[in-house]
Amino acid sequence: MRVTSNLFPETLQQQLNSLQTKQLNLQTQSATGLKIVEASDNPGDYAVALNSTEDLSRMLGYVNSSNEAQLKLQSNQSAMTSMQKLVSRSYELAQRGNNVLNAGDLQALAVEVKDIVSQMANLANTQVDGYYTFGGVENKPPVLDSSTGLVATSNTSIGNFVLNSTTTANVTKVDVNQNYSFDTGIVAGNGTVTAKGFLSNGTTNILTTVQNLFTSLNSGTPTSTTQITDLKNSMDIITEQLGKSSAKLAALDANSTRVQTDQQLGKQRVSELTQANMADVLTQLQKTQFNYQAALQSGARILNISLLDYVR
Amino acid sequence: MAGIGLPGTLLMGARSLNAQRLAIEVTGHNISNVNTPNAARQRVNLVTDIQLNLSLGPQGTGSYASNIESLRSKYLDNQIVKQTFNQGFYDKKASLASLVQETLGENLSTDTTGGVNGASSETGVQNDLNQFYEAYQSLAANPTSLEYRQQVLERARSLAGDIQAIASRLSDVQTDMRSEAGSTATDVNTLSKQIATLNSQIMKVESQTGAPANDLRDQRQEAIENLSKLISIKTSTNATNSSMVDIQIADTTGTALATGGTAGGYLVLGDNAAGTVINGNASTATASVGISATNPALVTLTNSATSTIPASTGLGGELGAIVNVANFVVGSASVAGGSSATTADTVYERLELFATQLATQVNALQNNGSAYDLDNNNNAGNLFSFTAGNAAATISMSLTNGRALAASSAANSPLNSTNASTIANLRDTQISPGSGWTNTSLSEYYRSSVVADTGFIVQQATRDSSTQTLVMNQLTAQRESVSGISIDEEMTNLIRFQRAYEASARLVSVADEMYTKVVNGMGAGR
Repeated sequence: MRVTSNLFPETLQQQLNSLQTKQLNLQTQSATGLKIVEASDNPGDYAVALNSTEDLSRMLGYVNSSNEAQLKLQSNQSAMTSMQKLVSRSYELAQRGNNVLNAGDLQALAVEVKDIVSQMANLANTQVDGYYTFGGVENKPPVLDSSTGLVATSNTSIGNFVLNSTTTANVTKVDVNQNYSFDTGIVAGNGTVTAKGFLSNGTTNILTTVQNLFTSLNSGTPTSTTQITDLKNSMDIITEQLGKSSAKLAALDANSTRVQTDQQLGKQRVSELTQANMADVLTQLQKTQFNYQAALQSGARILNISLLDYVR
Repeated sequence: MAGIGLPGTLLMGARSLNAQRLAIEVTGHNISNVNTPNAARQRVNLVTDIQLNLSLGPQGTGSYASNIESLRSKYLDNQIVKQTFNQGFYDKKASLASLVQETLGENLSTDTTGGVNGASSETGVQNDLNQFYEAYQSLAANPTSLEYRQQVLERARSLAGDIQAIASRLSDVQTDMRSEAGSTATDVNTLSKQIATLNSQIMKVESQTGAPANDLRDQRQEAIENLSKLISIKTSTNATNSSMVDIQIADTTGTALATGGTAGGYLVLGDNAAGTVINGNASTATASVGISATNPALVTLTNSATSTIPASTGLGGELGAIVNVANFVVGSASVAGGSSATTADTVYERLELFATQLATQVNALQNNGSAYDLDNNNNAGNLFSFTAGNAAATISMSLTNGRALAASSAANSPLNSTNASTIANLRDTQISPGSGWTNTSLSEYYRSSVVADTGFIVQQATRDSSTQTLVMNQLTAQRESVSGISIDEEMTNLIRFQRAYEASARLVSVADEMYTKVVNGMGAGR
């Protein structure tokens, strides 16, 4: 093939341009650590990477929801522990009331029971930002004054506290994983089996039980065996709630671990798709630089020689 | 015994001097055109003169320059013309499609959170969508939180804003393409005229001299290749004069751009939507055509015969690439309604469909009778507002108060967050709104049909461009080997012809000496 004067510089320009483009790509890869930056670099893998980043985003949402649920459950568990102490103390006082014959002593015990009833009502009616913690999704006060129908907030109307019959067992649900919804709250209950809660399982009404204890002690009547049995059942209700709450926390914890593991796997997947093999990239970069230098040097040598240098 | 004698020898020397001088002149011409685009090397063809049949045998009478030949390969020239419009098309398409891809603003960047070197898209609609869904997930866990409600509004605003920004950038790109198409069409017209003029000049020179007008032919070839870069053409020898070349657009009707010495057509590019002509003189256009919002672009040639060339048949060249990308890659919001009879094929159509579906799906959940806001209102109002048929360009926030977000799916239940969860789960909800969108979620549609498909177009165009570059390099090298000028070769020729000239001069000198001897040293006069 006949080689002409312009073929050399034109070919050299094309080769240098091609090598520069290659160097630019390799430099971008080494600087970003990514082999895919734009969709056109590898449209299929880019779409898969975006899909994986969406999965990661979804899992991040699950982790956040899970953390929120954990905080609420821990708060509920703390409330249950307080309630357990109150019921347990009521049980102790009932047992003492069963053995004391003196009416004055019984009435002295009634004073403490009255305070416990009030604390129970207040605990059940706990509000955060204006919303009842144990009132279900409808945000209704769990305990009311039976005579006024108003929210029971003090111990002035002792003996008249009742569970709000209009509350339900519905609580806020959050998705903590795909197809895995989680109840984040517990309710006080409305006295029926359809809305079981920590104050009533539909059979035993803790509030009524403790109020009955107050009534009998306050009237100087010793505690009956039935009352003691009811209080024991009440303790079981609270214990059951605590157990459920702990089980939920454990389940949430396990779920969080699973989601976090999935997150790591998702990141690894994205990493495999998008991360440049730095050893390979740097080796290629070095090779390309070498080629570039060689092209420049050989081009300069060839272009520099002309017959004109040898003829007068 | 007879021969050409001393006078004949002198004459032979003189003819040889002329021939070598001419060869040196042509060599000089070659050297001076070594960097002239498309200049073919020329050479003087020397032939032996008549021979005399003597009794001793035939005797030659020297040589003379028969003609000056331009070394071109018609086959390679034609091949280059054919491949040039492919090169122009693919180069331009790769460049323009990259611009379209950039309008989407999707880029992966390194993400090192969690101890793994991953990558995430921190810009673009996909990222906005992720954050939008995350905000709804957070709201589902805290349905009464005004902070989370505000966060949902902010994320939604950001999402709508980015969709609008992409629509605006796509429109800008299309406007620029329209302008570029107009100026390219004008260039086509200018080059067509230039070729017709050169045809006339070549015919005139060649009919007067009887020799090929090499340099004019070089200029015409250059003009044809420049034209070919802009639009796909086919060339043929003029039926009435073989020195002229006819140029036609390589469409089905073969619309003439130049016929002999006449510019055969006037390329008018118009805008269907606006009903205006983009380039040239509107009075010469009988139809307004071009990059249209509603119809595929048409390019109309108007002159003695008006014909239209649907752009979809492929104009080729840069003009073809501009029209192709503007109409068939960028497109417009023409299938906004999501009619199942039409497929959303272009980036804009798909963005439009996506924006419409996003707003429709979210609004349907937000604003219905079984969804309640924090103040127990159902039908609490749409989250997004948009103009049907122009959703991508108009999508914006309709709600401004976070309390009006319908997170609950039950009346009088502010702590219920089922509806917020349902909206968050739109992420995985597959829908089939038609227009080529079947059983695919919103984000999946966006990333596969908008982002990845655009990437495929850019990738394909870039590959085609690279392949075409290799083909062109090969052809150019082949043509260069035939037509290219080599300085080394010309310098060698220069020396060769110089030496021949010196030798011819010596021959004349010797003949002269012999003549002198005969005239002054011999005979009666002595």
